[in-house]
Amino acid sequence: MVYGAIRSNTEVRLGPYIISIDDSNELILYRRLQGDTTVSSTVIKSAEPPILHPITPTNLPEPGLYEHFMVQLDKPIALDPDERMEFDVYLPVDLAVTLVAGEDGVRHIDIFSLTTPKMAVYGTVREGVIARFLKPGRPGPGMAVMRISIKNEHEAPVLVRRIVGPLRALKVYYKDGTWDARYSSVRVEVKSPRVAEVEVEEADPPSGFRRAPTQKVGFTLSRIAGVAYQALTPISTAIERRYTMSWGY
Amino acid sequence: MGVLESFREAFRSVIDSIIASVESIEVANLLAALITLIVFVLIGRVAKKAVYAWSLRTMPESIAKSLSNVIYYSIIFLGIIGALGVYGVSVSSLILAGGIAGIVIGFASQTVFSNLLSGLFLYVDRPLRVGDPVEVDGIGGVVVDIGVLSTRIIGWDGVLHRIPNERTFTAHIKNFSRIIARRVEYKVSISYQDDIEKAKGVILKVIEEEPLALVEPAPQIYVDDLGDNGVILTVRFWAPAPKWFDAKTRVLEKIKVALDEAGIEIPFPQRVVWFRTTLRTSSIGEDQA
Repeated sequence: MVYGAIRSNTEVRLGPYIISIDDSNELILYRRLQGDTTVSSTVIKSAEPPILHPITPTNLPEPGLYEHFMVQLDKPIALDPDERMEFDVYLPVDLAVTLVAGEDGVRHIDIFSLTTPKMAVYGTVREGVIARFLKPGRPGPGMAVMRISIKNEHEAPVLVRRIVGPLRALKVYYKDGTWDARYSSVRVEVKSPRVAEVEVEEADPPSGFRRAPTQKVGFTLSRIAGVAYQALTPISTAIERRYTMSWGY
Repeated sequence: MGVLESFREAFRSVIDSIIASVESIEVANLLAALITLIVFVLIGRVAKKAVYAWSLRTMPESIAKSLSNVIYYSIIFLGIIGALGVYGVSVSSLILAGGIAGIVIGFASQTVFSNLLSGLFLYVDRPLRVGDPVEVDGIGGVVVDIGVLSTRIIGWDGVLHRIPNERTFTAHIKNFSRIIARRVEYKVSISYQDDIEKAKGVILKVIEEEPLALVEPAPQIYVDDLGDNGVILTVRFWAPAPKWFDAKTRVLEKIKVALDEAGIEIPFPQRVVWFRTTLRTSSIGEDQA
């Protein structure tokens, strides 16, 4: 199994899961199993087969919990004033099984990750933000490469350990028939000992890649202690490309 | 016409002039009183609009409207008192009667006014807002309404609590919404025979595999006490504030399961018993010396 349309009557191991498509009857039964437990299952009636593809990690463990990403570098990067460094890192990406009908008809029927989705606070618990924590790893299924460019615009050398940026601006591109996936490029400009500006660059898909389909509107039900207390509220769809890291890097 | 007739005419003209002068005074006073009242009405209208606009910034419309109406009619009342005074009516007895009535009403409705004022202070101070998860004097839940006299909270169990504003304003309020993450803490006891580092490793792995447990601030696990029954470990980690309860309930169960699977004992209460004299024991069916 690779990114792209999931073939009929498939049962494939993907990380800790087994993905199964059974269309022996008129309807298609999609299942994701972990061990003997069915974690997710959906009955599908569709002319087109569902597609497996990477997706911007905004939905796990639950949508609406965070609006930023945090990349924790394995090794800190030291830069002299006016120096720039560009490099690639492989970061976890969520996977989605999606039905696509036309250009705007996108419906995710399952979203999961091959690694444990984690979050972290950037800043203080009173004034900071919760960010999806992305730890660099090795290429493979469930990983996407991100090109990061860091420039030191401060007058003294700096040490960069992490990058925090706006998550919704981050696009994911993938190549059908492979496990290749790419994130949007990210540019970091270090302004002072505590402040850096992060920008997610807008660009066309790389050659041979296609942009991952994204469901346009999401809603969240506000819950406390597992009890819903506020009606469905739309998740913000405003796209902010820049973020100012004010609590260090 | 005789002397009598002339005298009568003179007397009548004096009376007429006195009456005319008295009447002219009343008309002047009436005019002054009306002008006074009109001025107060105008002041009242301006004040009403200003108070409404200001209070709308921090209070719901119904409260802002009530407050502005109270200010308006208070100014009108003062205007009426002032106008009566200008007209020449003695208002001291009115003020005295009003004062006594005010004292009586005040005593009778002090709780209502206290709640009303506390409600206004809640809107100004804003220790809680509609939608905040809070705990007010031990009542935990979500604020659904902050009214003129009382605050309504839906408890964690779905029960609606109505708390008078005076109690809310003076209560110890815990507001769980003003921070993005909250700390979960457990005390886990392990047997003195078990490996502490192994237990810490097992617990840390559970936390690392839990999506709701934040990477930063980093979790902490340390020996907190050497208790009567076992080694007490304190386990701390942070979770997003809206998911604090879910994280707390999920992780503790997983810790228990993981410790069981690792063969680490969570000991029952234990006592070592010493006997002053040697204890003679025997078993049923066996001979013992």
